[in-house]
Amino acid sequence: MSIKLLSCLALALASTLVIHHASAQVPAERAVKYRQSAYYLMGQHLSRINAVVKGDVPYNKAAIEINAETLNILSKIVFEAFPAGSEGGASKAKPEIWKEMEKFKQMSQASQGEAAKLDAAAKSGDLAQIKLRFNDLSKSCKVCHDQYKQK
Amino acid sequence: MKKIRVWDLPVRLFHWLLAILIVLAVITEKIGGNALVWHFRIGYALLALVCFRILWGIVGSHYARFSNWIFSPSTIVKYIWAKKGSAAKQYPGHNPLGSLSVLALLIVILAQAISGLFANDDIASEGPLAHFISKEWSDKFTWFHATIGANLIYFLVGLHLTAIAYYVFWKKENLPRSMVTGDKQVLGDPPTVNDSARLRLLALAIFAACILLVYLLVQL
Repeated sequence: MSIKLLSCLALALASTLVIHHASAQVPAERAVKYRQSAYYLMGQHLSRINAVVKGDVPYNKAAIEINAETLNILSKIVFEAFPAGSEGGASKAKPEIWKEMEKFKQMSQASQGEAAKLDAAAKSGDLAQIKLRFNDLSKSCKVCHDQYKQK
Repeated sequence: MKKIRVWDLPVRLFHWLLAILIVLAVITEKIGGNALVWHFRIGYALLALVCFRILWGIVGSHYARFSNWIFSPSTIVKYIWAKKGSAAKQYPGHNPLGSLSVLALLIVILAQAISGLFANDDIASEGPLAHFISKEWSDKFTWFHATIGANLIYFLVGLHLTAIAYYVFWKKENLPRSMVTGDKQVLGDPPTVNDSARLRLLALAIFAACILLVYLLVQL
């Protein structure tokens, strides 16, 4: 009788722990998936602009504008996807991000600024400006990757 | 002592082009952004150069050939323990210990160039062959390229320069000048190399074939 009760209690405790653990994991997992999806899209649109910058694909104002506009929007949302507790897991984000959140934010704002400038250049239709702004934006990505992304 | 030709012109040009391109590859990577397109081109050139050197190790002049400077472990050990001074004169080309460094540099630069073809920068660029493999594998090549390969090259170049400084300042043997003029002062009667116009033309043809091969490879 007491053994049954004890095992019931143990099972209840174990399942509570499992559920509690799982519920703590969900927001972190979601945050990782959210930011990785946004970065994936940014990579796609950056690559499309890069193809034009390198001269592999002919310049088309409307196409560049859509790419740059998408990047501008994504740059504004992606850096919000590093909430406290979302470090670790299937992510290459270094834990230093959460330890140095102020610095990380400053770097992300720099990238946002560059994305906005690229967007403006795309709208102006000046290819030389687009190349210049693309260069600055991809550099601002790299600076942050070198510091806060695992290789 | 007499002066003999040790390094044929193709070997010397290969050496200095390799040195310049390695420096430029590092610089363009550090600049990043739109300079990355040049990092790629330099990588292709390095791949063609190393391909050339491998073929030149088979058909090149005497001291350029692998058969002249790939030594057995026992020869290398013997060389290290031999009385200094006498040993150096026996090897006008790569000596048994130095040959290890040359071999390591060639292998690492080749691995670096090939891994670069499959790598990606997680921003806007990827190597010309990255689309043949999964992102996961491309990331593995990138990891090798950016950490292992790059640091091995820094280490080997550092070792190379240190060894040259040792030869220049301690042993009073000007190796960099030999790599420019191709000539060395030697004792005894070691063979001098065939550095003829015909052989140089052959080298040019082989290098052109290597460039074509790499060009076709990166268009895949």
